[in-house]
Amino acid sequence: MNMTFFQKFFLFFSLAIVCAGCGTDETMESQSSLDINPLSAKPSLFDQSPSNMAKESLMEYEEITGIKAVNSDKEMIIAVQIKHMKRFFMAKHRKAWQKEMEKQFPGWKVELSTDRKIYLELDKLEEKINKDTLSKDELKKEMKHIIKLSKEQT
Amino acid sequence: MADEKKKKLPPKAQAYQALQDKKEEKRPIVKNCMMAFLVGGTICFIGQIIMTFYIHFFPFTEQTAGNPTTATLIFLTMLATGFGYYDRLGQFAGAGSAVPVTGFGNAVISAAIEHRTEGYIIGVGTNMFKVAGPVIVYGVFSAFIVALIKTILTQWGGM
Amino acid sequence: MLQGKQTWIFQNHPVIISTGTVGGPYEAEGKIRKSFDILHDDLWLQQESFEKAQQVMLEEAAQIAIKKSPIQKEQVEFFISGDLINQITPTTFAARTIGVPYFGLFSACATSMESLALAAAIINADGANYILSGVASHNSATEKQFRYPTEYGGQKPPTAQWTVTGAGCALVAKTGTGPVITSATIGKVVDMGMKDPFNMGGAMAPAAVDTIETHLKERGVDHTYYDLIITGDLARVGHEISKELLHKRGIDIPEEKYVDCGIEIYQEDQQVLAGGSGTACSAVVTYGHFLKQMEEGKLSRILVVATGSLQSPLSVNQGDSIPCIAHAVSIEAGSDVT
Repeated sequence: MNMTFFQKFFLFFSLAIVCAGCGTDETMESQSSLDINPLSAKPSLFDQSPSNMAKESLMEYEEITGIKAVNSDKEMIIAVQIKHMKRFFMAKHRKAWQKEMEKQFPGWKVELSTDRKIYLELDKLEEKINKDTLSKDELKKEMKHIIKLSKEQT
Repeated sequence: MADEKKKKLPPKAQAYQALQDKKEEKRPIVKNCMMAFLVGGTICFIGQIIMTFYIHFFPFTEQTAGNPTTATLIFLTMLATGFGYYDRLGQFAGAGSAVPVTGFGNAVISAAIEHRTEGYIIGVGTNMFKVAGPVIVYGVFSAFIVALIKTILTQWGGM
Repeated sequence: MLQGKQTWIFQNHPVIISTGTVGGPYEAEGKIRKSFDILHDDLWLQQESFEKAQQVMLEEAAQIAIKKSPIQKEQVEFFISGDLINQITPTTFAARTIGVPYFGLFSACATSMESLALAAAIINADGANYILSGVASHNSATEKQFRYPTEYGGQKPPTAQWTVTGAGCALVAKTGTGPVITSATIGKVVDMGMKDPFNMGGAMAPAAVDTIETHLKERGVDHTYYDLIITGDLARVGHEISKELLHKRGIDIPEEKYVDCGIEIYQEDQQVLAGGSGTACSAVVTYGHFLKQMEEGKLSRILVVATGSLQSPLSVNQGDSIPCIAHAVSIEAGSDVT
């Protein structure tokens, strides 16, 4: 029983690994396009063109697979997703990009994060901006909340 | 066993141990490594699913989602240990089920179950960390040493 | 009575008038399940602790042995027993229940034959008429005593053994019908410097070989005298090694005449690694399985060599080697003894 169970288990996993291996090659190819949506201008809200500019300049980096950014009048939050194998150098990249963004937007308070959660939250926020369902105060509140979330430590 | 230690034994014992070593069934290292890789990987995969779940549906970031994920894994281990599955898994998975946090959970929980008959204070209380205790002691100790080395290097090494 | 230095010959022929064997759930799936008197499907036996469960098993085995015999409980004069738990308390509590004068023994897994040999010696010397000898062990209680908690998922090497859950008792009498205890050889502690508590078979094999060799020499018989030579709990690894050692000393016992209780008790596909062990291992297999075969006439002379590894968790942790012992008792069919 021991051996047969082991064999079954091993077979199952070999198959799973082979399938997974074959699968990723194809999806990797098709996913090479960047996940970026430029924000549309809304008269009732802050002008989001600084965010769009930030996206454009970060697009240059091949490590990045997706960028989300939102800004108020003096604050900007940027979240990036980077290629899986580049995650080993994530901290280094994050610092460099943060510095670059600060240089690009002098006088702004820039927050750059590589965290998936921040990315998801910004994605939601971008959608809300595009649908024009937010007021200025609400946007500021949401941004404050996201910044607080990004500062949380274990 | 080290050769120096063997030399202290009487020749009869040495001869016997040589014979014994030949006859003794060895641990199947290659099989154990493979099983450890597969089972350990599976446990980590489950952990990653749980973590992604927490990031998507709860206000946890990649930084903070680790804690609830660990707690969930330990809770699952508790069930698996209590129902008697984890030790069977451990027999063929080896390090694969011992190294992840589930192994630590199992070490604590199994000792707690084992000594319940001796009472909650003396039995469970004193024996709970019987197997897991060394992990904590040397975990803290090695963390201290590493921190010390890092401090020395950054302070005087100018890193 | 004493012949040579270590061997007793029992010329008054003490008789095993009845036996009682109890097994646990894992033994109920084993190779010799049909020879148990009681099999439990609950590891706890409805008790609060595994130690109490072990105590209950020993009490049951004693009751069965007495019930199957023509005598009453009050006629039993001594109870000789022991186990593996701290200060042999489960046995002591069982002795309290049985309520007869009691000798408590510790020889680890060799306790079964040590108690039988002592019972036979006392009866042979007119020290008593009826003596109950028996042992019990419990898998979970023993694991807790010697190794990790039962549910701990540590990986055991293939040389590790599985402690038998069960109890076996033999009622030895001065007169009666049944298999006769003809001789016993008390073993010396043999220590080959083995230190791995997960390889007790390998540690105990030299002790078993030493006792078998001494027994055959001092009794003045060849190994062909016995239909079967049974080792206690050497299991697959230890049994193989002991065969090799016996061969080196010029004792070539054919494969089918040299068996081990630790191998006999479980099925091939039961996950017990090298095989069974524990005080109850040799007791249940001998008293249940082999004595039944003797009753059926399939065997007439057997030599049971129970092996014990006498380490404690303390001595192992302090880096001491494992001292081992083996006691041999020869049992012969009643009609065969002259």
